[in-house]
Amino acid sequence: MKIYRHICRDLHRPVFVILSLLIAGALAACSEKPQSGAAGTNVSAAERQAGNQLISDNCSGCHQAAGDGGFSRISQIRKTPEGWDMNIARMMIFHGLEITPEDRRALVKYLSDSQGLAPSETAAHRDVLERKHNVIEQGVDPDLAAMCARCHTYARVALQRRDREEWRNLVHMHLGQWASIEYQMLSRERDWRADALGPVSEQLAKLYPLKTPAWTDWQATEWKDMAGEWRIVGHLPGIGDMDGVMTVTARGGDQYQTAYRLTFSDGRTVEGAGESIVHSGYEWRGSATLGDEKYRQIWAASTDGDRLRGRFFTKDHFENGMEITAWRKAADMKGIMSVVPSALKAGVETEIVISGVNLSGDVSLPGARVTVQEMSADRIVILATADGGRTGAVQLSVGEDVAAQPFALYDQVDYLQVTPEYGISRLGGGGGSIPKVMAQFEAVGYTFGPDGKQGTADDVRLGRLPVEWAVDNFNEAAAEMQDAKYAGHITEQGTFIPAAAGPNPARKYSTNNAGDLKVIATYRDGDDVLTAEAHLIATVQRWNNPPIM
Amino acid sequence: MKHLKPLNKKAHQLTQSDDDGAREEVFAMQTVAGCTTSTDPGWEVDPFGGVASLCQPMEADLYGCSDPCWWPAAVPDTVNTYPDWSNLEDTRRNWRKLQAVFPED
Repeated sequence: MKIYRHICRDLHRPVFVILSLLIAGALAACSEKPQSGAAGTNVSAAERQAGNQLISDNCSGCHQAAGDGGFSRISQIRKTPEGWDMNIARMMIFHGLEITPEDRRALVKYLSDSQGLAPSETAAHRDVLERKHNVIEQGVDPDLAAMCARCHTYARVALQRRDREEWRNLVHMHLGQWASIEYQMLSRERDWRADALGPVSEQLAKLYPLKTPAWTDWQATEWKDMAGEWRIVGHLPGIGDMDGVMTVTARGGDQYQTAYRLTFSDGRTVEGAGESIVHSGYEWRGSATLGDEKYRQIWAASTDGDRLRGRFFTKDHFENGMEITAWRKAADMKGIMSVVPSALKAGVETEIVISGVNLSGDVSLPGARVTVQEMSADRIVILATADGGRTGAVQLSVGEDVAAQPFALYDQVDYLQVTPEYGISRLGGGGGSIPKVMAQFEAVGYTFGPDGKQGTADDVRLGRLPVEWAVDNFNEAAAEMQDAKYAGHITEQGTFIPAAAGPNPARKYSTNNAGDLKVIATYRDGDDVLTAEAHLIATVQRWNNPPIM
Repeated sequence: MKHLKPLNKKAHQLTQSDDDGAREEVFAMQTVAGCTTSTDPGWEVDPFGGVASLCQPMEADLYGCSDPCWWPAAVPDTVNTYPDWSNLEDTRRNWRKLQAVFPED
């Protein structure tokens, strides 16, 4: 099954497909972009000709060319870059398609540009697209969840657009490829085929039709060149915050060379370089090497092309990564991007870093004395002290720019929360081909706020706190199986490292090292001790790991 | 049991358990026993959000999680993604040979 169905469907291992860092020669040769934003001109006639030739060369053995220049079972579908890549991968696995890596990347690029999804069409499902850990899919129609999301994420469905007949063809594909689908538990108690081909297909065709104003409008919008200097900030769970600069240089064909200089709140500064490509005018996919570590990026550009946001994660462990925000360093861009830390304890002088673009003016932090240590248009460092006369949320500002997130003044931490509340790790290694999937936890402090009660809307978030970490058996069944002894261990940074995969002769029934645990954070401030817990499972590995689970 | 003699190892173990007074230690699984297909219990998490009710250890019957019990989104199958299942033979020992099936670029 999948962890996301009602509870939380799946986390998956790092099978990042490097979606087209190079474009095949056929497309690279005609990479010049029209400057106009007129309808359809983001993909030039030459690019369309080259793309159709690629489809003809690689796909027309099965997909028939239509009189209008389209191809059967291709032209009636729109998808994300990952969706198209999974399509090609399925043709390779199921039907023996032989395709060069260059053609595969070029097809993903062409299909994503000509039959992609608009920014508004992917917005609700970016968590899954970005391979965030511990995603719990919410708000899925129960009938559609029962039909589609018992085996894979609902996002895999909702990140597609098809005409009515193509949604029905998707049902037929499932029937053809997984012939016992009608007889599975929770299928056989109903007329599965009639449901799937009837009301479910109809509903999907209404929710996710091939032709939408969103895609038509996005095709008519000028897709921006991403070259330039960018300010980038992010948060790396277990480590802290990051801010830096990214330099983007155009290589043609929506491809870019990138250079990074990033400073983390633990004091490290790392430099690196990479390559990126933009699909569909906004879907930024990149690779980078920072220090000795290889990274991948799944980001989305804002519709005006001046902001980026997404995940920046290590190549071999997708679960290990940070959420980032980047702003173009343009003359008309201005504002505060992050404030670290964003809480100040009374009586404790604290260094605070304000990151942004084109910052200027006086720093204002009501309730605190502020001394500016460093100041540039990108970054301001202050020393701040609060006397305790005022507590609660205040607004930090620089000149006319106000930080989007409230700043907290406090005199004591009232309670802790561990995030995520439900963490998932996976056994791995042990001589097998699937690596371990870690689980990263953080402890966040809060004050009760004016009402003095925990868990109400006026509680004030204080940010990440240093804590001691431990794991224990989640319940009696876990204690009986000694899960805490066998399932893995947690580091001082709150990283749970699961044990090796495979049957363990030392365990009851020689079972593997799966376990049901609670993660315990302990915060100490003098004689005050606060604790909080989260649920963690160390579960089994999986062998099917496409980019969209 | 007076008129039945165990013929294989497992039957001997059952008889021995009874002789040892361990009959009460034999208990039913928390959820439906046997193949339960693609949902409950799940591949990665049981209906209670934990792992206690999963088929354990799944390596003992990994092929059973493929075609017969069918976890198509998690475990390779012989029809589509892993036609060479038979090469694995005893998955309790050879689960390590099973490879990821998505072709990375």
